[in-house]
Formats: sequence, structure tokens, C-alpha cells
Amino acid sequence: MHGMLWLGPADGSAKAWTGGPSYSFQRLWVTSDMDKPRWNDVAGTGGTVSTATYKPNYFMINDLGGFDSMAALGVNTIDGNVRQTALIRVVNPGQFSYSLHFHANHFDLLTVNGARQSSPYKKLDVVNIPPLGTADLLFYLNQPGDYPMHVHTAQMETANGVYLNGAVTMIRIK
Amino acid sequence: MNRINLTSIIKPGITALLLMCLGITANVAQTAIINKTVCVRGIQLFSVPFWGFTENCTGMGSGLVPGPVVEVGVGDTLNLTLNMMMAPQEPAPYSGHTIHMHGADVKTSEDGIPETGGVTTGDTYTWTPAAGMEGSYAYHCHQHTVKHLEMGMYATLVIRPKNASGAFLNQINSNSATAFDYVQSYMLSTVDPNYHTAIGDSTVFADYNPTIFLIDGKQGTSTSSPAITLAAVPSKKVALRLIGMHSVNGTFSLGGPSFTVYVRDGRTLSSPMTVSSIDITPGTRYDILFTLPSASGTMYPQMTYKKLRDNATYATVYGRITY
Repeated sequence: MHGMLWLGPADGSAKAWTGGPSYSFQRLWVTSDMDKPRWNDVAGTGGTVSTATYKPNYFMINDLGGFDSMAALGVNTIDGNVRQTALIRVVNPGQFSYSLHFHANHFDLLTVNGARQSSPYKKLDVVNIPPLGTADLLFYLNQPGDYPMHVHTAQMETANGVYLNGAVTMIRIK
Repeated sequence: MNRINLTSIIKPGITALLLMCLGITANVAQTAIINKTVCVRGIQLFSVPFWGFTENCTGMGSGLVPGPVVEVGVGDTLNLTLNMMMAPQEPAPYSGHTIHMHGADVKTSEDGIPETGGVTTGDTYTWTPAAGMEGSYAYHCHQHTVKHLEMGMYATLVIRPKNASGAFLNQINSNSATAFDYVQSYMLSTVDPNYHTAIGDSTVFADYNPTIFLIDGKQGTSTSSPAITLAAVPSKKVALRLIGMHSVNGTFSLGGPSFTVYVRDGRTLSSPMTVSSIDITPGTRYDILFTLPSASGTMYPQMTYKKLRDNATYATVYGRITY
């Protein structure tokens, strides 16, 4: 039972905030994890979950993992043309930290937990979103090709141990 | 990819010739083409099987964990070749290996990702880093990454500033304020032994339980037996390259003294950050600098590895600097 609440400029302009950096298109990512055998399956059959133990075996972006997330065009994927920019708003209602690594290009870190960062922004290729953390990123589409964006944490690249899965999507630049 | 990058050879040559004719050669930084080949070999560490990169490709030998450091100057062209002869590997569908230059913004063909066409039977990966990209990176295998990275297939990749003669500057970046007297690479990694014996799509990979914690491929969970050491001189400057190839959370400190972060993820910070600790999560890199005290003593750089859910401590691994 979670979701994202985001605020944009009142005039509806494609800016991170009123007077903020402009973008070509926006993506909204909600990261989450699931301990299916110990939490969901137990709760789903009326049992009592022992919340002290949490060993998630599924990791998702917008409830999609692996190839499903990589195929979610226009929703999860960063698909556009060279010289465009993508504003990526990320929230993490999950219980694990998501250390997200972008191939192809660095991005500007615009906000952390709702706090605007000072300009010039840090240019990074990894951002960590802790549980209940948020970040806004401005990604520059600067070279054509296909690239992954994935969490850089071992088990979180799988779905119950099956690779390539977990919190991942694609960057497709034309 | 396997091809000769003619433009990287011809363009600098033409530019240098043109400038020479104009009589302005002093400010032209000399660039180089760096051809380096690594292969993959097994090695047993901590009673656990690893795979490591090595430049010794003539026999069976042993891999190195972490692998050989690769240093590249701004404007140089790196051709990093993976020789797959006699490489230990998994059965299909995860056979073979690649090299991904982690943090390098390269074309798809140089990215080393099997799922986007990366070759897993050996290849050459090319990158010409530009000014402004000085700092610490890594190179690692990107085939079945959940296992192959864990197996030890990672190493330091550094982009260094150069002077007009083409020599490396002992600075983190082009800013002389980042000059150092000593530099060390702190490759940060963790080990779940069960990941090292599992293969393919196994439920073992659904649950990461690290029991071995490393800096530079070595354990050092006490100050009396640190993972990495440095003998230095008081008042001198030390740079550390902190490279997160671990799979948990972590916090780095010098055990009290503050330090300054100049570069994060291969990009210079517009405002250097002076702090007493930093959180280092998987994939991140920090280039830090600090000045040793004027009186002799000992300092213990340390990485505390923490759990992904609640940041509870797994273990602290120490380095040691005597001065």
C-alpha cells in the first residue's frame, strides 16, 4: 500500500519545479521489494508475519521487475532522442536501499528527500535511495544506443535468484 | 569492439602537426594509446573459490582480487582487451565474460553488456576519457553480474590528469589543490561464500548473506591486522580512491579526522565537501584528500559494512597509515 506524490509547477510547464531545470519528458519510478515466502504468502493465507525477518526475493520499479520493466516503454524506460533530457522522480517505499547505476551518461542530482540541491548540481552515475527516500534526477540523452539502468546490489538484480531481473530498466536513445 | 580506432590516432596527429606549424606546441598535452590485455584465472581465497583478472595470461597462474589497476590519462585512448583463453566460466546461458568500464559513458559497443550485444568470448573495449573525467572508476565483468562481480572480477580504473609533456600529475584532477604525496586505492567488496559455488539461476542468489568483508581484497577487521597499510611522513597529503564494488551499505571514515571529497563518480564536485564520514553504496566512487598531522602517529581509515534494510553493522574493515 504505497505510491508516489509529486508536485510540479502550477503552470504545468516541463520544469522540475517553478523556475527549475527544464526537461523533455518525465518518468516516475516507485521502487519496492517483496519477501514473498515470509511476508506475502503468509499474510495472504491469514497468517501472522514475523516482521523481524525480512529477506526480499523480488525487487521492482513500478511493480515491474526485469524484462517486464525493461519493456515498459514510456513508463519505466528512458526512451528518447539525442539531446533530450529526462526528469526522473524516484521514491522508495521499499525496505531495502536502492543504489541505482545509470549507463550511457551521468545525471544531475536535483533533489534529495525533497530538498533542492544547489547548482551546479552533482553529476553522478549512481544514486542511492534509502527506504522512504526520494530523489529527482535530470538525465541527459547524449549518445544513441541501448543501455541498462540497474541497481548495483547483487541479489537485487534477480527475481528469486533468476537473472537478469530485479530493479532494472532500459535507456534507449535514438 | 575488435577494431582499430583510426580517428583516435589520426586526429591527434593532425592537430599536433597543425599546431607545430603554427609554432604553438608547448600547451599541447601529449596523448597515448594504452593497449592492455587481461585474462581470467581462478584463485582460492579465504577457502572460497574466486575468479580474478590478471595480466599474466601465459599459463594457468592465479587471478588477482581485485584485478590489475589500469591508469589512463586524460585524452589517452584505452584499448582494454579481455583474453578468454583458459578462463574459468559458467555453463550456458551465462558462459563467457565481458568487461564493463563502470562509470565510463561509452557507446553501447564498448559497454560490455551481453543483453545489448556485448561479446562474451573476448573483446577489446575502447575509451578516450576527456578533460573533466578525472577520478576513480572500476572495470568489472557484466555477464551474470550477480555472480561474476561477486566472484572477484573487478578492478580499479583511474583517469589521471596529465601535464603538457604527457606525464601523469600527482593530483586527483586538474586542480593543483588536489595534489597528493601518496595515493592508494581502497577497493571495497563483500563476499557471500554461497554465491561462489552456486551457478545459473539459483535461489541462492535471492538471499545475500556476506560473511567476509574486504578492502583491496583483504580482510582486516582489527586495527592490529589491517587490510591495507601505508607508511607516510607527517604533514604530507594522502589521496584515497574509494570504489564501491560491495553489495551492501557502508560508511567510510578516517576514524575521526575530517577529509575532503573532490570527485564523486568521476566528476569534480563544484564545491569540495569536507566531512568526517561518507556513506558508500554499491557502485559509487569517491576521491578524497587529507593532510596528515604534523606529529607522528597512526590513522585508521575504515569501512563499516551495513545491512541494506536497517543499516545494522556487519563488520568494520580497517586500513592503517603510519606517519
